[in-house]
This record gives sequence, C-alpha cells and structure tokens, in this order.
Amino acid sequence: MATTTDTVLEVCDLRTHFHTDDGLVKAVDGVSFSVRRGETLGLVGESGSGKSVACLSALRLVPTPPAAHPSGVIRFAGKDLLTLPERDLERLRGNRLAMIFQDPLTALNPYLSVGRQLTEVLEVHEGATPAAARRAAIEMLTRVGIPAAGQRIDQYPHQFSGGMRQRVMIAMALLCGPEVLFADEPTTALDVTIQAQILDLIGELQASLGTAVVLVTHDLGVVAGTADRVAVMYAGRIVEEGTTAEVFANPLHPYTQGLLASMPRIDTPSRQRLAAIPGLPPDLGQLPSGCPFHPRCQQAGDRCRQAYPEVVIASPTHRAACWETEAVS
Amino acid sequence: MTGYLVRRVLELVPTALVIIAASFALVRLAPGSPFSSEKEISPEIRRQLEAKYGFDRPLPEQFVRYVRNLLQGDLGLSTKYPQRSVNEIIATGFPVTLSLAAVALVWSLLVGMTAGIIGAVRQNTVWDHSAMMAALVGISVPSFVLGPLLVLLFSLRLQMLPPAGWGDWRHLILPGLTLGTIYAASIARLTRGGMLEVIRSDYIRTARAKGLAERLVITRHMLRGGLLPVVSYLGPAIASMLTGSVVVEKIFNLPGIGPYFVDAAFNRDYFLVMGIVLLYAFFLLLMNLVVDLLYGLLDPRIDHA
Amino acid sequence: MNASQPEPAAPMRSSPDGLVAGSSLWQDAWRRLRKNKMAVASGVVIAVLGLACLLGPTLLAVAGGYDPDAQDLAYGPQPPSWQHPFGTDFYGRDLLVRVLAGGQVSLAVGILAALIAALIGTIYGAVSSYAGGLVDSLLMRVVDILYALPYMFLVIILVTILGQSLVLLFVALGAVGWLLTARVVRGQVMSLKEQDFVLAARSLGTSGRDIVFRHLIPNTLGPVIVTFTLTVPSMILQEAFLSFLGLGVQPPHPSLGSLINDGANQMLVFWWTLVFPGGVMAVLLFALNFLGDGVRDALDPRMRT
Repeated sequence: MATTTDTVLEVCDLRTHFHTDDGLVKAVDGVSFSVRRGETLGLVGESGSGKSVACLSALRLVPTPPAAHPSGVIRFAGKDLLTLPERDLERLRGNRLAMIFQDPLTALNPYLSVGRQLTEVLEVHEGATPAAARRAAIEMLTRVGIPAAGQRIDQYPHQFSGGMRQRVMIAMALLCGPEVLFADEPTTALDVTIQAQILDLIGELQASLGTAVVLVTHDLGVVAGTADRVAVMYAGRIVEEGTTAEVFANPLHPYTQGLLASMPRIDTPSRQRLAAIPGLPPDLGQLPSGCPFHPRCQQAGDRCRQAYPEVVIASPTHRAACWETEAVS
Repeated sequence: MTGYLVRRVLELVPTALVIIAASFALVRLAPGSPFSSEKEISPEIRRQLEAKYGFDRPLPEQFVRYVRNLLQGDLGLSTKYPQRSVNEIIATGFPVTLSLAAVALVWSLLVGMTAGIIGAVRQNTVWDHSAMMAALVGISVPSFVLGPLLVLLFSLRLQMLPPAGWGDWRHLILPGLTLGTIYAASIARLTRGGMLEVIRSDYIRTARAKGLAERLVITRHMLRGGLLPVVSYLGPAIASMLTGSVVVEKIFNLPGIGPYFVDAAFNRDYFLVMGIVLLYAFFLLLMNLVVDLLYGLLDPRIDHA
Repeated sequence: MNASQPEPAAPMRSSPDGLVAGSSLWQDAWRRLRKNKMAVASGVVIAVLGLACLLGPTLLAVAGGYDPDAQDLAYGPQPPSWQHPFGTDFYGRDLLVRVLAGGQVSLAVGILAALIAALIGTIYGAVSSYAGGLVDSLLMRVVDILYALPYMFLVIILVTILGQSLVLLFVALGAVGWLLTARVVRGQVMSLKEQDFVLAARSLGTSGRDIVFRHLIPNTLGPVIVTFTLTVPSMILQEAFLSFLGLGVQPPHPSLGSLINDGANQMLVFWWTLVFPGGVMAVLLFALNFLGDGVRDALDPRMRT
C-alpha cells in the first residue's frame, strides 16, 4: 500500500464554471481527487459530466472566456497550479505534466511534420539541440511502436493511421518523462482492436517511467482493465470513489450501479436485457435541486430532492455521495 | 511537383483559347466600328483604313490571323493611335500599373495581416474591436473617395507627397494606399477569421499542453493554417487590384494602362481592347497558378505529386 | 448547419431538436440579428437613407421646387446653407436633391443587380452540382474561366457595347456578378444532395427538376441570402466605379459615382461637392456591409468570429 507521500497530484475542490448565453454552467463543481506515483485513476462519467473539463482545468487549458478562471487548489510539486504564473506553468506543461487527447487527427497540427511537433517539446523544455532532439524523438517513436521511425518522423499527421497517430501523441506526451499524464478518452476515436494496444502501451510506459495516469473515459470496460482506482463523475461532481475492485464489487451510488448494470458482461445470460439508466444527463445550466441524479434515480426519496447528499464512507478508500445507499461502514 | 506544374500549364492552353475567342467575339460583334467616330471620312479612305487593319476580311479569317500574330507576340496596331502598336502602348503603360499594384499589395498584406492577427489573438478586446471597425470603414470607403481625401491631406495640407503625376517612387505612395486600403481591410477580416478558426482547434490546445510559450504557439502553430484563407484570396485580389487601378490611375493621373482601356473600349479600338484584356487575363491565370502552388506548399495535405 | 452549436469547449449538449426545426432556424436567426445592436442600427440607417432617396427628390420637388437637373449658372456653387443643406454645385443645382437622386440610382442598381446575380448564380450552381459528372465539370470550368477574366473590364466592354442605359447597366453588373453565388450554392448542394431527404424524394419518383427547385434550392436559401446581402454593397460600389469613369448613369442625371467624380475635380475650391456625396456613399456602404455581416452571423453561427 502506497503512503501519502507518494501522492504526486492533489486536486481540492476544483470548480470550473462557464458563462454562456444560457446562463452559468457549472461544468466542474467541487471536485477533489489525488493520484500517486505509478497509479492509474479512472475518471468515469457520461459525456457532459465534467470529467474532461476537470483535466483541462488542472493544466489551465480551458479557454477563458467562456470559462471563468477555475477555483480551488491543485497541488503539484509543492505548488498550486491554479495560482502559478503562466510562465512557470508553461515549464511544467508537456514536461512534468502531460496530456493526450481523444482525437489524434485534430490534436496534431496538420501543417507541421510529426518530427517538428515532437522535437519542439525537447527544445523548449530541455534545451536540446535540433540533432539531439531528433535522435530522442526517433527513439521515442520506436518505443511507442512506430516502425521505420527514422523515415516516418518527416511525414505529416495525415499520412498516419488513427492508431499510429495516437501513438505519436503518446510519444509526444511522454518525451520528457512526465510525472502525471492526463489521458482524455485516449481510445474513444479508435477501432476496438487498436484500443487494447494503445491501453497496453500506456500501461507499459507508465510502469517504466513511474508516471501517474488520470484516465478519463466513459467506458467502464476500459477502467476495469487498467485503473487502480475509480472516480465516478455526475453533473460536475464526483459521486463515488474507490479502488476498482471495491467499486465494481460493491457499487454504492445508484448511478454507479446503473452504469455497471448497463455494461455488457460475459457472465450474464445473453438473453437478459441490459438495464439502461432511464432519462438523460441533466442540463448543467439548470441542475435539479438536491442530488442532481434524483430525477433518474429509482431509490430517490424526499431528502434527495432537498439537499445534496452527505458522503457515505464504506472503507478508508471507498466513499460515495448518496442519501439512500445501504452502505455499511 | 514538376509533373503537376506541367499539367497545370497545359491546362491553361484551352482556357486561354476560350478567353481569346470569347473576347474576340465580344469585341467584334459589338455594334459600331473604330472609324465611326471620325465624321469627315470618305468611303474611299475608310476602305483604305479597313484594308490596312484587315477589317475587310471575313471574321473567321481575321480571328485566325489574330491568333497567329498573337503567338508571335504581335498584338496588332491601335486604331485610335495609328502611329503606335498595341505592344508599344502596353510596354509603356503596364510597368506603371504593375508597380502601382505591387505597392498596393504590399501595403494591404502588411496592414491587413497585422490587424487581423491582433484582432484574433486579442479577440473581443478594444484592440480587436477597433481593428475590425477600421477594416469595415476601409471596405466601405471607395477608392475614388479615399484618393481625393488623401491628396487633400498629404499633398495639399501637409505638402509631404506629390498630388498626382508620374516621376519617382513618391508618386506611387498615395495611389498605392488608395488602391490597397480596401484589400487591407478584406485581408484583415480574412486573417482574423482564419486565425480564430485555428485558435479554437484541438491542435492549438495540444501546443499549449506541450508547454510552448504563447508567442511560439502563435508563430509556429497558428499562422500557417490561419493565413491559408488569405492565400486563396490573393488570386482574386490581385485581379481586382489590376482592374481597380483604372480608377486610381485616373485620380492620380498616372500613365498606366487603365485609362487606355476605357478609351479603347469607347473608340472600338479592337486590338488595343483585346490586347489589354488578354494581358490581364494571362496575368491572372499566372497569379492563380502561383497562388495554388503556394497553397500546396503551405498545406502538406494537398498533394501535388 | 446546426442552429444551436455550442462553443467547442463548453460542456453543453446540442439541442436534440436542432435538425427538425426548419422554421426555428429562421426564428433563431431573427432573434440573433435583433440582438446585434450594430446590425439593427445599420438596418435603421439603411431604411432612413432608402426612404429619403426614394421619396426625398419628389417631396423636395413638390414642396420647394428643387429640381436635381435644373441648372442655374448665375447662382453657381454655394456652400451649405439652410436653403441648400449640402450646398449647390458648379451649375447651381441643389446638392442634397442630387445626392438623394443619385442614392436612388445606387440603391436600385445595387439591389436589382444583386438580385439578378443571386438568381442566375443559384440556378446555375444548383443545376451544375445536381447534374454532377461531366456537366458539372464543364459548367464549373466556365465559372473558372470567367473568374480568370478581368471582371470589371468585362463590365466595361458590356456597357460600351450595350450603351449607357440604366437597365442595361444593372443587367451587365448582374450578368457578371453571379459567379460567387454559383460557387456557394454548388458547394451547398453538393453536401445536401447526398442527404437522406433527397434520396427519399428520388425514391418516390420525384423528377430531377422538382428535386432541384423544391428540395435543394430552398435549402440553400441561408447562404444565398448571406451572399446577396454582401453583394448589394459591392454592386453599388461597382456602379459608382463605372459612373466615376463616366460609363454609368449619364449627365445631367446624377449618380453618387459621377457626383463624387465632379466633387473630386473641384474639392480644393468647393469642398462640399466631394464631402457630401462621398460621405453618403461611405455611410451607405458601411451600413450595408455591417448589416450583411450581421445577417451572416445570424444565419450561420459557426461562421461567427
């Protein structure tokens, strides 16, 4: 069991709000989590639950406006990322804190060769000479499994396949051996057969570099295979958090239960229908009162409509925010 | 790349032929004749004149002869200025027009791109709003209003620049500004639009996530994609600058090619009209080709192989 | 075109009824346009100027006996006064009436020529892309060639051929100005014709002509309107350009272009002869361009910059 000194990144009470034509949208509203060295945290939720915005906020990559400056505290290397001067933050981004994105086609610059996009990271952060940066880039491309990296480095993103592009993204993110990697739906845009390869690759590199990974996904299957711990997000907040084993074996929050029930499993009879969660995710501009999940929750009672639930603690690592859950602490 | 170039140049041949035929038809099928304006002209002299220029022949024969001469670089004789060939007139006037257009182009690119980039990078700030307001004013003030106003200010009040006429480079500044401002305004709007499209794109977020400083994000990652709309605008812009020079040359009394054209069209100076139209059309085709090549160089996704 | 496209980073879901709402697209656009204060102000300016130009000359003639064309050489040029708010010109004619009458010509030519251009361009573009294949490439090749011609020269030739009548002037402008609309509509139809509702219509046995006119063209209305609103000022500019060169509306009838030409020649002595026609022209174009921008933003929020 890792000790708390292993914690590399700690997010406390993060709030990112957007000012839109339709009013204030609380995309992230009081999110706290932490990751340890070498650990993978799965951040799970439906689209619009705020999981991507939470990651982008951590690196202050959400454009302001329309977003307001995120509030809260994000501790990394003894500093608060949210109050750090822009220049200091630039030194951390891409260097000690890296990020990979959902769609590698749009996330890579179509006008620059892959090599240029890789080498600039090393030139900026490590002051590498062009020749040294190129050597390191080829080495990293080889390491992420791009054949003939020496030739392909001079090609442009459109000349790569989807899976290869994501490998390039990963290479770019890991060039400087970051301590934390945010992976925002890294496999969603890829073919199913490629997905496993990419996840394995991230896992391998993580193990050798000791990187902490925050894996954002809507796919519980991905989480089950790769994450050590899981945080489930709903309507801008974390509603349940625990080790992967705990959450899968004993989901406390009705929303988590619903997600798990809607997941196809090998061990359920194939004729049994998958249980979908009724209703739609809420409009973040007009959240219902109390627990935002109550309109879709079959267990909801009066308390759920009136106030946001208190935290229920099931184990030192497992907790959920729900009034009605039958957790035993 | 060479193969592509050869193909593009070969493609120009039919286009050029159509343009020659169409402008020949348009000019020659028009009512009136080059000699109708001169009143006291006896049928005898008229016949002689027509024979001199070959107008007594059937039209198809004239067309063939015109194209044959054209291939040898001979654009024919002017009927309005009987002592001068069309080649001579173009040779004296076109360099003036071209340098005017060049000054206007440099001015419009410099001012337009700067304003557009500032507008996009500082979106929705005072900088942005004033740049775009200035651009809209620039688009809305026609050259024939702007020109006289500039003369009034810089030549007559401040006495900094010559008001009109032709001499050294200083005679090109006010005409260049007059001609270029409207394009500067369009380029500013296009630049801003192109840059904003890019600014919101995922790969700019990636560039920031890599820890690049804002200056590097702009110069290395945004400019290329952001300026592509400007590049594709350059072809039509240069075309329109050349024709727009007609008015500017008139305002500033420059000895360019423009005034000849209006005159020639009025007087049915067949060969001169044709000569100028073909010269401009040729120039435009060339510019469009250059712009296409430039576009291909800037955007690696366009494959000229 | 999704009417309710959120900002890319904003975590909102696009409304699920975004596509169904055919009429709500127009309501949305109207709502957005009304929220744009500058566009509304421009619309008011255009309405006031339009009314003044439409009714002004007649009212002033009936009420005060002002005649835009009646000369009074003895009276001569007078600076602005209560009796002649814009002053009088070299021939002693009231400039306000002349500017309003000129504005009438400008607006009429601008709107009619833009309408002609929109009509030709829409049909041409829709037919071209719906036909596809060889027909499409041929028709588009024609557009390319016309693009490569010096556009204004073509108009000048047309005007000198057709003679200087007002009707022919806007026919000439419209006949050459449809290229952009044709390209826009073609692009739009290209993407539309693969969509399910067209396939459905075809599977029901609807004729090609009905599909083009009943299904495709109505769906290109948005971009066509945007192009139209931005074509009006450019047509007005071109009419003024021609009149400035003496090729447009003929004296003694006024046009903004010819008034500006007169004014530019005498601006040193009689400044008001340049400032008022030039100012009205600039304000008109500015308002039209601003309204055009507003309409574009309202109809296609994605293009909002």
